[in-house]
Amino acid sequence: MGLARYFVKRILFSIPLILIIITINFILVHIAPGDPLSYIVGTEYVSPEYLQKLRSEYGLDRPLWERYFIYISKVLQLDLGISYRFREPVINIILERLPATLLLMLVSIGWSSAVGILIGVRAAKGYGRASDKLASTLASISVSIPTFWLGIILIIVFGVMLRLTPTQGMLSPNFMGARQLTPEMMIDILWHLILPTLTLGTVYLGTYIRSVRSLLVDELGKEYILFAHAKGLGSSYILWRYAFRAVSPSIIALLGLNLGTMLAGATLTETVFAWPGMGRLIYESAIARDYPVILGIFIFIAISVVLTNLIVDMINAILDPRVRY
Amino acid sequence: MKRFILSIAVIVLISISIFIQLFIGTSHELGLVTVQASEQNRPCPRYGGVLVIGRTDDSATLNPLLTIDDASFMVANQIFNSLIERAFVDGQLGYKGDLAEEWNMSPDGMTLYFKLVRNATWHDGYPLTAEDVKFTLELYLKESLPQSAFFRVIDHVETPDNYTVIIKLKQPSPTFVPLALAFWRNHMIIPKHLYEGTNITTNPYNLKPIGSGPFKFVEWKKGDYILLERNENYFKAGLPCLDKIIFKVFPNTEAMLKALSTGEVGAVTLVPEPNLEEVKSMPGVKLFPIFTGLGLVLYIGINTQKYPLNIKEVRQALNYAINKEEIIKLALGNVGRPQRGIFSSELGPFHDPTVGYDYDPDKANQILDSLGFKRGPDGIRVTPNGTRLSFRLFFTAGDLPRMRASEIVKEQFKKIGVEIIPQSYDWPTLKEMITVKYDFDLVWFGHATGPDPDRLYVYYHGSQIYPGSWNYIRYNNSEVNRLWDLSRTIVDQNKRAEIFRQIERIVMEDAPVIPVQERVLYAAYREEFQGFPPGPYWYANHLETIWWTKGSIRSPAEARSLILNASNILTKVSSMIPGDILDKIRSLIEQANQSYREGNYDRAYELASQALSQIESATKTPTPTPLTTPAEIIKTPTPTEKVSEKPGPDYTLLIAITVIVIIVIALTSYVIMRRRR
Repeated sequence: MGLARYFVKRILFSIPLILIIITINFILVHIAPGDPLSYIVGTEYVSPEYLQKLRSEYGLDRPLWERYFIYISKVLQLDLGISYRFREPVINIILERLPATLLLMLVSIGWSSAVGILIGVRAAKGYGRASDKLASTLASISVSIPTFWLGIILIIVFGVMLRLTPTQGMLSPNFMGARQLTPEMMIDILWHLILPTLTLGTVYLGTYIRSVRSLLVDELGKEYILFAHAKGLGSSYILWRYAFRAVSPSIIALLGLNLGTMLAGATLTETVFAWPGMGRLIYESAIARDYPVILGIFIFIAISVVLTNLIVDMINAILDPRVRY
Repeated sequence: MKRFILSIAVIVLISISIFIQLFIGTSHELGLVTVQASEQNRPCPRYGGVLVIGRTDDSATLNPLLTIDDASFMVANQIFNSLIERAFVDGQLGYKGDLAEEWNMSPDGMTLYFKLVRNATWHDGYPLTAEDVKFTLELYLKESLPQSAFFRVIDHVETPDNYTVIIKLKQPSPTFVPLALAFWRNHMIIPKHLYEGTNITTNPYNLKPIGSGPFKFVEWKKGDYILLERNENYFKAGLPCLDKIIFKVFPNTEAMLKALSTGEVGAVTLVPEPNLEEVKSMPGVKLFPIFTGLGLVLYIGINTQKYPLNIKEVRQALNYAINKEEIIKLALGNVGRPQRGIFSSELGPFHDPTVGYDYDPDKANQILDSLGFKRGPDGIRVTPNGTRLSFRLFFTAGDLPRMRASEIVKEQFKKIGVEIIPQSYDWPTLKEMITVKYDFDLVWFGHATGPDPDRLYVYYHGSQIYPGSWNYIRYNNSEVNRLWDLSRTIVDQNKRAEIFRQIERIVMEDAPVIPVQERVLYAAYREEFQGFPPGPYWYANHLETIWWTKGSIRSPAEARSLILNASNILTKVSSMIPGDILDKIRSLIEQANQSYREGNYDRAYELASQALSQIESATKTPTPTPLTTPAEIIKTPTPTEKVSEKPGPDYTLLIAITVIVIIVIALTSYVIMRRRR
């Protein structure tokens, strides 16, 4: 019963949190100089009457506080507004980008966490030996390598020189406009996914190796491990059943952290590979001063971060019997 | 450890098998079919193919009446038609009929007649008539649209019959045809039956347009791509050549040009000046100029109301101090010509080639000396009241050519004791600073005239000074204003040219701008595609005549008619053919249909003719009419595919993600489980 009450409390707390996030974002977005219409107009001549019409249509002629309250009340009705640039509901634009971002982020976090945990465990097991040093070097390289540089190098080597993979995008032209997902189309998407996910995953890889390694090294030095050894348990059994289990809440927390920011996409990777994800949408919308889209994405991200943190806490509360609220 | 290696090996094996499958999946094993093309007159050497056009901006809307930017116009121009268009006529820049097959203007310049083609239809099957034209023109008058100002001269539109349009003007207008009807902003016709009685800015067809043009709209993934496909019922016979056009958005020029070099895109909309050399060296890639007769001028705009730039002599000195040749050579891709006035030499008689200033730093120094601007200890001049001659020079963030050019300008101005501080802002910020707050000294800017100099009215006429307007330099000369107003009442082009030459001379005497370059912009295409440039304005011409060198010699219409013919005859005589042969012929026709759908029209034609000859030999009688005229068969109604109203978010991708995640999780847990034992 205590657990359920804790969860309800947490959920109720996150609502004002999201409202505060919206308010801060609203202010930040609007104090940036520049007029959304100037992006729409570009360097062309447009009748002043048309500009006036647009301005009142978008509500840009109202004072800021009025716009804020209109926006908040619309958001509470689950209406994120209309994009200035595309004149399409913001929710449609975001949902159109969401699958690409989820695919890229899930696969990247997926493979890098799996490989990172395995390497990290391996390094902790052989603490101080060659395998450990190798893993640490790998982690340092992967953490410090600039994403865009790695992406460009991969494109030049595999895309331009070897012509093995596509250099950009998510779909080949022949699959564009397809109404359903065929096996060939899935293979084509995976094909386009290889380089971006390799690039993005490499960034995460180092974090996982490092944290798993250091967590496990700490844990393996504890007395109950020594006792287990003395009991005559197999070292592999101790490693996985005792030590790894003990550190798994921290690893889950790390995963949750990464998954929480997933919706934000990866602007650099998406830009290098022309991947049609959320990261690029944020960037483009900021350049275009497309306020409704920027705010809409921020709300999406905020909700997803809050939600994943909630879920991680719940999992930990269930997993770890010591957690009592 | 062994298992670890084993599982890695499994992953590698899986990926290798995916690779192999992919190669099998993509290699076209369809044999080359050599079919002799019939000797009829055909507009396309070959048919079929998908052209991917790379660009760095997405369209904002696909409603041509609401479009403002090139990126939107370029796509809208493939979906819609205008009455007439700018085109090369016998190698000369002129006008060509698009929806209008005949047009002329009454001698008094007050009435324009247009006779429309009779076979134009909207993509949803409705005929395009004079009512649609009248409706569209009246929308410009009724609504506040971006281009409405150019149409205010219309008095009313008459449609005596379904295919005749008469436009009556309020007064003779020398600029109506070149600016309103067929500038690079073609005035396109939208369907009355979809827009009548709706709000034009929110009509759902703005996002999934129904037009009459060579290509039909299929799909728009915002910020990613727009997919268009061949309009089989296009009113221009035998066009378009391509099956599909995809406008693909790239986040930056580098990614776009890489895709051009690997062949992932067939053309790009623009090659920026710093990348010209790189593109020139790509094998199989050719450059071509985007515009002919656009009159694109690059200049530095001066804040004419800010001390000391409000002194005419200071502005003249700056004009003398700039070495245009050097800037063009070192920073602007070494293309185009030095520009002397406000009008481009492409305007011919409207431009006076003698206006402007030669490079003469000594003269500039003399002028500044005579004004009493003495050099300070750092070599920078100071005005008598203590203001340093230090100016900020603005350019748009990320604009590499202008950034380099600013550095050169800085060096050149140092020679006359003027300090330049180059600064960049993103476009919305920059625009607000220069056109609303007037918080600037010097700024890189460009303007284009198209076929008529009147387009620059909004840049130089004194009535156009208000916040957000394009006369951001706040230039106001009563003589220029008077002459410009006068020019708008004169139809005789020679007299107008004389007035505009005079205007240009006065403006350059006042020197509110520093003209730098008459720009030539380039785009690039891969040689597998031919027919570039499609017209004088690459963004405003139908891409209907661009063709793919690897395409089919047979046109889609020919292949389609032969397939229909074969299946029609087969249903008539099927009772006379034994079952096994009948199945074989049916599968041949099915294969032909398949090839047709894949865009291999030669193979479809070949298979269909095989089917026909098999029918012939099986029935042992000459088939009734092996080749009915294609036109006749095309007219038989074919079942049109019902396109679902709104595809909605694509959940299929989510399924793919789930599958991948499950595989990853399964592999991980498998490895972990094994190790636990």
